[in-house]
Amino acid sequence: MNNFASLWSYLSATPLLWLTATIGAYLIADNLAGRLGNPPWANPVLLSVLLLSPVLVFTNTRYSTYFEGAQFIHFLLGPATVALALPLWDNRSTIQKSVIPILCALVAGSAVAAGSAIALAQFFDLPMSVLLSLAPKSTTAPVALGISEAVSGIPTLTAVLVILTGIIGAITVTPLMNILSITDWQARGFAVGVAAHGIGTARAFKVNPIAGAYTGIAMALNALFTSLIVPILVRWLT
Amino acid sequence: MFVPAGVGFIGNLDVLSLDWAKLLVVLTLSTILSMLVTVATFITMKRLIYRLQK
Repeated sequence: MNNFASLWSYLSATPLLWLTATIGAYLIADNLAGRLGNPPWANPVLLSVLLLSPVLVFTNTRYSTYFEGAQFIHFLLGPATVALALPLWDNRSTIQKSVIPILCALVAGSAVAAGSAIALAQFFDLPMSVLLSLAPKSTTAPVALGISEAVSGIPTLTAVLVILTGIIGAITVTPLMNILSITDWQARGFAVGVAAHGIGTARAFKVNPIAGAYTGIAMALNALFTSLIVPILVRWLT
Repeated sequence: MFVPAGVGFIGNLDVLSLDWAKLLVVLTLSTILSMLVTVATFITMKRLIYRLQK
């Protein structure tokens, strides 16, 4: 017990505490999601956030203090963004075969994803800062945070909205496409990749490998395209 | 990797507690709409090209 107390006093004085807590929370969350059979609503990232947040609130820890430790993980988002190019390179022959459907669906889907979020936010009279944070919600998290910052949204709010979007997409895609009896796995995969980034991709790979590959392509291209159109849409629509 | 950014929601509790219902509606509608448009465009273009090639 004495050992534990000295370990605690050491850890709480250093950024290591929150780094350890973040990794620990993720391991617990991932294990929990696995035991539940990985349903789309039990997303490990969301579960980790739900585990960590009460701890921060109850220990009266400020977000900036937490972030001092957690920034080591946050930093990895940079390399992760570069890694987005990998599925594009791996699937270059597939992309060449259906380049026109891919590009057209990308332009239409990205524009609707960002445009409808802005339009609906206006319809519901949401504050400007929330609207700006909503616009990049269908993009993969590291890029979405960057876009949000660039258009003066709230990056931390964007992060939450991005994760929620991914979960909504992952839950709705299979029933939605089945109702419409769409059996084209390329199209199904591409759609969830444009609308629901990485969480949708993880889901698609579980449902069908072709859909999974197209989701990866869609997510990477969407990150690029959304970062181009959101600043323009924001200027037009607001 | 996204956990640190996600935990940032505790800094936005004021916004979220006020507008969470609206936000959920916006996210759900926008996500479904975007999937529908994407899937429709993809299939239409694929069929169009197939027809042109014949």
